[in-house]
Formats: sequence, C-alpha cells, structure tokens
Amino acid sequence: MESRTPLLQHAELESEGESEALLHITRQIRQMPYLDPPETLVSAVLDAIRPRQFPWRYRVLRWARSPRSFTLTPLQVACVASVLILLSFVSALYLPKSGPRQAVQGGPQGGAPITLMLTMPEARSVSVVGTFNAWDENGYEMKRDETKGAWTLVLQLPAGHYEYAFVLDGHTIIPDPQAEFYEDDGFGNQNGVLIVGNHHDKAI
Amino acid sequence: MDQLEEQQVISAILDGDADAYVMLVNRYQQPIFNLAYRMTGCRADAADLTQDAFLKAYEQLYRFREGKKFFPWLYTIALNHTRNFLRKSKTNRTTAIEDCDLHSDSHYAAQEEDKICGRLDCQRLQGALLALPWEYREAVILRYREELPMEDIASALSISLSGAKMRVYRGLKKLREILELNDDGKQNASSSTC
Repeated sequence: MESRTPLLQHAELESEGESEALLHITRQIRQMPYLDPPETLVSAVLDAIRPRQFPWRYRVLRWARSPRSFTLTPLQVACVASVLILLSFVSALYLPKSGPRQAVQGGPQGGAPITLMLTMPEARSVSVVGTFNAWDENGYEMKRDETKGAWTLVLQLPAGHYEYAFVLDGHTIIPDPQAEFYEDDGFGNQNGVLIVGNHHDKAI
Repeated sequence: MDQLEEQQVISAILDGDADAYVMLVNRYQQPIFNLAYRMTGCRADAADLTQDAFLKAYEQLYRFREGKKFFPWLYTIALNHTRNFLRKSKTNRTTAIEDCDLHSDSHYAAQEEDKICGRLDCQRLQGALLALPWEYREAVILRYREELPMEDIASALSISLSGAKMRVYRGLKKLREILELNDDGKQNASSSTC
C-alpha cells in the first residue's frame, strides 16, 4: 500500500490544523463499512448472461496464440523430416538466387555471359534479336534499370560471331549504338556485330 | 484465487463456459457494489449498476488483455458505467437520492451502516460525499475507501498521475468544506431553535 504522506505534501502551505483535519477525514472515509451486496445479485447476473460467440477475429487470434500439443510417432517424425529435407533441396535448386535482378538468356548451347545494354529511357519495351535466336524476340526481353533508364540483358553464348539488333516497343528495329562492328543486313540497314571469344564476360 | 487461476477462469469463459463467470462475480461483487453505493448513495441503484457492470464486463471480456489484472479492468468498467448514470441523472440527482432514501431497500442500507458505524457518523460523511461533484467523489473514494494506488486511480479515471493527485487533494478539501458547512448549518439551526 502506498504511503499517504505524498498526497498531503500539498497541504504543506496549509496550517497544521487543516492538515490534521484532512487526515481525520481520510481516516473516517477508510472506516466507512463495506456493505454486503444483495443476495440475489449473483443469480441475477448469471441469469442475464448467456453463452456467446465472441467475434471471429478474436477467436482466430486466440486459437493462433494458444499453445498446442502434437503427438508424433518416430515414423511420422522421419516422414516430416524427409519432406523438409526434400523441400530444402528443391528450393536450393530452383529458387532464384538473391542479388541484383538481371535478365539472363541462354543461347543454343550456353557459354560465356555477355551483357547487352541500351540506354533508352523513353522506350516502353526493348528486346534483342539476332542470329543466336533466329531473329525471334520472344524470351529475349531486356530488363529496365529504373535508376539509369538503361535496358540490359545477359546472354549465355558460345564463342562465335553474331549479328544482332534491338527491337523498341515491339516494332522499331535499331542497331546497337555501342556495337564494336556493324554489318549490312542486305536491305539497307545495319546490324551490330558481336564477337564472343572463349571465357570472357563483356558488357557491350 | 490468484492471478493465474483468474486467467484460467477467464480462458474457460472465453472458451464458452459461461457458468465459470460466477467465480468472478462472487469474488468482486462486494467492492463493485460498494463503489456504486458510495457514488450514488442508493442501494437499489448500486445493485443495478453492479449487475450492469458485470454484464458489460462479460460482453467485453474478449478485449481483456491476458496477463493483466482483472480487477482494475472491471473497476474501470464499473466506474465508467456509474459515471454515465450520474451524468444522466445529474439534473434531478438530489430528488433521486431523496426518493431513494425513502425506499425501504436503501433505508435498510442506511440502518445497517448506522449499526456498523456506531458513533463515527457515517451517514454524515456519506451525505457530504454525495454532495461532492462526482469527478472529485470518485477520486476520493478510490483513494481513501478503496485504497487504490495513485497510478491505478489515474488509469481508472483516464487522467495523468499528477492530475489524479490534484483531483484527490482538491476533492478532499472540498469534502472538508462541505462537512464544515453542514456542521455550521446544524449549529445555526440549533442555536436559532434555542
């Protein structure tokens, strides 16, 4: 029980007589008797209440918070452990690894990684077509880097000589402005030339 | 019944065992009834308010936070309910109390108190408490009759700790003024009679 003294510190400025009078009143209040409630009170309360369904959100929360006991046989434990191990293997094999997201496409036989990049912030979509994908843009969409406005695609190509071009917004074909070499396509346009050597990773 | 047992009872009620509520009602009906009686001065009103407070607490029991003490929570509900009752009946409070005192049930309470109080003149004090504005009345009762710590009073009244201290102190001073005024009035009345 807390001491009564701190409250009456307010009365420090008052006369000693007043403090004494206040203390006397507090004593009197404390001595007021406790009355017994009517005998019918408990039955009246119990008659008035009825078993009820509390709100479903509360029930779900309560269910989730309540500890549960599970009984498993050793065989069941072994089964659960096997499933968990299998799941961890599958996730390790198929889930994408963390790190910066970049589009990666394999050529017909895989090979060294080549990063193609085009700075074209106003484009809505950019794809790459070339001799490595039979000039079919499907599956060779470039990914946009929002900060730089640049489009990138990583290709896995075996060593060789490739012609390629970019397709803007699905209809405009342009050569790579940063290509090291160009070749005429035979129709008055030019394609970029990509020469992939052995074991190198190069941004073009 | 300690806090752990109390929590088990509450869990049982929340799981659908409404009969388990009788344990909480049995345990806390007296302090809640006395709070209501000290606030209203009427036994019949106090009984109704106590019943309502327990019903409200039952309806809202799912909001009660596990690990907390049940009694302060119930007390706050009872206090709020009593406060609303007093607000509604503010305009005709004096008449209502007089009517109530004439009621046989409350008259019984007054007689009982007289018997228990003996020469302490509880009726005089109860009358002065009822003359106190209810904001001060509840603070004084909680502090000195129910002997709640200041922190619990502040929480029950939804005010700051310093605000609770100030309200209790001012209530006490006002109570003294009322008691003195009543005493002076009686003396004047007796001297004029003489």
